[in-house]
Amino acid sequence: MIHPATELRFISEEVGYGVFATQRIPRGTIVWVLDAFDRVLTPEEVRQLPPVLRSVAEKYSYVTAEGMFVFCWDFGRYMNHSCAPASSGVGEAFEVAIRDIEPGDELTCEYGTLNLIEPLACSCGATECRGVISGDDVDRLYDRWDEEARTSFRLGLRLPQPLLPYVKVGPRDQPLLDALLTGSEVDVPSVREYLLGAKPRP
Amino acid sequence: MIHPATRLMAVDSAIGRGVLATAFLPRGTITWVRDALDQTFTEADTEALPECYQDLFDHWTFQDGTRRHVLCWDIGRFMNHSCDANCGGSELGFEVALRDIEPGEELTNDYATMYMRPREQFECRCGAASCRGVISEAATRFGVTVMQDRLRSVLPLLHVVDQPLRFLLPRERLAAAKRRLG
Repeated sequence: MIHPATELRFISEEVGYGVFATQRIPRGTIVWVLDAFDRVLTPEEVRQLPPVLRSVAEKYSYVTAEGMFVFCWDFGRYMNHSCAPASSGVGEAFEVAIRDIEPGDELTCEYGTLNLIEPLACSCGATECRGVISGDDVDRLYDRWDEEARTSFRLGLRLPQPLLPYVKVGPRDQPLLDALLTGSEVDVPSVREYLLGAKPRP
Repeated sequence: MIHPATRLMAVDSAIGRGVLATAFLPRGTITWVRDALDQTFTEADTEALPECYQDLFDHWTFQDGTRRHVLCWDIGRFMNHSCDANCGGSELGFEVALRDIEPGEELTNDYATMYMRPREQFECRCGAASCRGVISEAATRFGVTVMQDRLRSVLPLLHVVDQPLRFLLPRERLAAAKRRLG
């Protein structure tokens, strides 16, 4: 579920839609959670969809470390990638704002951690734009991503978090939710560990 | 999946957003088909979720007459209520235009035909001459009967007008609808 202070806007024919803030969202705010309405499809279920629906599911889902397709039920599925994103994934069920997001700013995330099936050309326009996003980027960049996510998540322990009642967490993410609910410190796992957790990497 | 000639747009400040036609949709057009990306929640699924989700069910889902909640994956879930709805048939697994829908006109459903829960009762300000004021679970039985009469009268048009969604509608589902409406 995407943060309530957001709206869907049409950007251009080339980019399509994007998600934009309607109010200020401070760094540390959880801007998206995995919830009980998000659809989790096996690769086989995706293959068996009628072609029109299959292309929708493939375009708008992200893939988990276990290879499942997660098709968000709400506008969260229109969040675009940026090489200098506004939020970072923490565990499997949270996206945390890694900078203050002002009204009118686009909410963006890092597709490099989403198990892209194929590398994706990027023209996000950020000075640090990598040009191509690939599943291997995490091996070079996880240190920076982890640092941003950890610092921001810690700030979030003292902020209002409107999405917490909706989150659907597995056992691995339960300590993160507990920390957010109680404001107590927690070890934020590395994004690399999460991706390694499920599949062998060289 | 909702008809491709539709768009999510602001209706007015009181109603918020709704689904508007971007082309002329003649009476008898299939305007929506329940598909494999729509989700179904059984009564047990629904009750197992916390209270904050009950509001989401009220707001975003409809019931199909078997106590199951259906959550549309696309802008179909933004269709608003009207006491003089121009679309109907949700419980058959597809919806049909009950009269001609002009470009720019909003596509609407009669929620009283959609098996509301008691907690979903609301005060209607749809502005239709036939507005019933309060829309509640109690209206469902009557609403469903009236809707079935209206659907029966448009079924013969299904084979006459252009149907961009026809490919999504299984033949058996259409046959079952015809049997049910008699």
